[in-house]
Amino acid sequence: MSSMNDAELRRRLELLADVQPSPQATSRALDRVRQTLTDPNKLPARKSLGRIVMNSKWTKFAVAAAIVVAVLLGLQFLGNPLGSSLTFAQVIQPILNANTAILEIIIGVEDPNTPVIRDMVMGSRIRRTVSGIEGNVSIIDLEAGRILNLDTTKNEAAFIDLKGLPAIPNYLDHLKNVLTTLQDSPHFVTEDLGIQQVDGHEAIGFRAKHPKIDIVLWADARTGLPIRIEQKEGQLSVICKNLQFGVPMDETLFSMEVPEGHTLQQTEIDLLGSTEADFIEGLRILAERYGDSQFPDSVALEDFMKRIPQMQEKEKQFKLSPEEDADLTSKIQKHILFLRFYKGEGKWYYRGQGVKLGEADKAIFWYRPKDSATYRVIYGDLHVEDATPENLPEPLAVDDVVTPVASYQQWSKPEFVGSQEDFWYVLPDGKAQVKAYLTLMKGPKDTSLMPVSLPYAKAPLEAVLLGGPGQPAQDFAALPFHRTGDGTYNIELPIDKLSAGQTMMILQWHLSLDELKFEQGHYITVLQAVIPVISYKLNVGVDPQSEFELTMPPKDRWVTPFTGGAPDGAKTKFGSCGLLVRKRQ
Amino acid sequence: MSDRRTELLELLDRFGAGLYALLTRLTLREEVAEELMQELFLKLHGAKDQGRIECWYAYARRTAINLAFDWRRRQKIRRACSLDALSERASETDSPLGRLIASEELEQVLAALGRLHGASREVFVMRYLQQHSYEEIAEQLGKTVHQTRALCFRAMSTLRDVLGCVSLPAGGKEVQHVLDE
Repeated sequence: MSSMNDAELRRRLELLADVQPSPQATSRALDRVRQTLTDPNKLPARKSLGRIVMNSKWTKFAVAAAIVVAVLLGLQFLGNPLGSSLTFAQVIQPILNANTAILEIIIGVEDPNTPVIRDMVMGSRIRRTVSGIEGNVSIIDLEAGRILNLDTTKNEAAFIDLKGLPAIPNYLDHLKNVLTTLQDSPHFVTEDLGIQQVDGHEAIGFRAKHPKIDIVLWADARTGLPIRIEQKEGQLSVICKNLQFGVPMDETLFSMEVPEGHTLQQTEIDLLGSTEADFIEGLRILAERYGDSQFPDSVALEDFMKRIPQMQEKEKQFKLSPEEDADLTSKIQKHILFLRFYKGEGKWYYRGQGVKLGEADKAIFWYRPKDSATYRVIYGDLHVEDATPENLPEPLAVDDVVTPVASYQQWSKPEFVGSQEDFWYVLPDGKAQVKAYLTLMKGPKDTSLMPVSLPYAKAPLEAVLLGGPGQPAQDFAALPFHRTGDGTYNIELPIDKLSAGQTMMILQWHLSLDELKFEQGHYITVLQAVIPVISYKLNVGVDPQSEFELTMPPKDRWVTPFTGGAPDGAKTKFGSCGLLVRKRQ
Repeated sequence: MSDRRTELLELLDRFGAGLYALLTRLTLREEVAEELMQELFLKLHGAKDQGRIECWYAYARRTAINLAFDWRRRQKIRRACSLDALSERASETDSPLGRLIASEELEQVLAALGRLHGASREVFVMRYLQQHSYEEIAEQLGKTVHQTRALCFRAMSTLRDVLGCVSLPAGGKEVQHVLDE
């Protein structure tokens, strides 16, 4: 049980009272309400907030609008592609200095059939065209969370309000903030790719790896200007190429004013609100309306983009009422967004090629929802079943495992950083055997001595072992360490082994429970990592022969009284908590 | 423009920022607070028996609190912060709010607050999240200071009980080395 005293509760309440929205968000929220209240047409339509509101003839925009939304930000980093290299800092300087940019975005593999998205960026606005969708221009206002879609051939315009998009007052500033804030993130491992020929330039390459994203950035070796960024996030690959920064542009190209003579429609899209049911409904539509009862060969965004011309041809044959038009567009968008902002664990699998709608015995898609132990399997008649990994239609791909970054990197800061998970096992003699599993992520240059501080000086460090994640404990190697003070030690690190991926350390000590504070029937321990960590977890188990017992049912022998992260930066102290252990009753 | 809209616009000008801040505190998400803000004013606009509403601000605050906790009930409340979740959130924004959003501690307190009801919850929110004095709360709610204090005390006791029962579930991670022994 997580014990909380009055002081802690009041501290948290004070933190809550201190929460303030940003002035921009406040202004935006108030403006939106004001706009709603002052526009008589808006009040009835806004009554159903929270669901997609469609009130327009949109079939002609269906696939185009879906793409504009799905690929909202070409240069959208989850993290930082930058290493600590000075050369790389120079390379990104044009991005940091620029107010405007031009880039081309390609989803998936670059080939002549792949549509190219062309973006012009100025401040918070993007002017976008897509090859193969002629006469269609989108102006994206990231600050207002709104897209103006213009069909210049039909003189028709539509506003799309984006739900779920954080306000981005300036695209390039946003990018700059992401880059600079995360520059020293322990999650990132960077690699110098050397010099290669890229898009006709001699270019320097850098790769940055994160558990969820892989980014390669190429810069012109002569000018230092970035020219190409390749991002792979899950099963989605995005290439941004022909990058140009600081290009003079006419502001009128980014106007959100509807041109005179255009008819105007309005809709709303929830970027992150798509569900499995939405995805399934999209599969049904793609088969029924666009595929002659056959499911598409692929549901990847890149393949969807390639099918746009054929889909638009099909759409011309549809004879739909305005309501049906709107409904269709909404459903296609939701279908695409399910995979674009895929929230499942690991990979998704699609096997719908050659399968007809109604074939109940053929599995066409499966994925594992977040925090689920089982998979959801969708069949050809669109019914869904739960399946354990062993009962899936096919074995999982060999690389379909979500593993944290194990590599160790040296950085410019003076401290070591990692993540720690402690296992306390209460023995029959009333002592807890503590094993602290420390995964090292970053450490300073020019030193192989890592200072550690144990939470209780009376419980001396007994052993330090080093190995790789997944390696059996008996294969871990002992590391030398020296006491430097009360509860403090220096551990000698083999940097070569760390760099080779051996980043998991086990530190062991024993602690009598009598050393702990005892309050209201609970043993209270301080939550302290041995070095600054970005996450800390405490697990507790009890030997059946001991005179203690756990106060809640264990899972695989363990209960977890505390799990916490350090979003503000690595730290050692996480407060205190009860051990979930009591004298046997 | 109708009188009702004029009244609501005045309310928005005078108390809109405060109501939005309150919604942000209760949801810990600016974008959700924005949606709820819209919903709040639509509700106020469509409220029946408006002649019986003596104080629009008090009515709006109560509705905002209810909307926020209704929203929380619809959410799957995160009980434990995973490393992934934190790193994702940290990547999304480096603002103080973003960091607070990532805090499991606040989610835990808000989840417990969701167990309170009616006047008890309203008084508690006004006292601790909006940091009004007991006198101000009493005046706004038409109660005595003594009644307000009693409500707040009972709410705090309930909150302590609820939080005393809350536990963080095990992450389920198996550490083979430990289990093997």
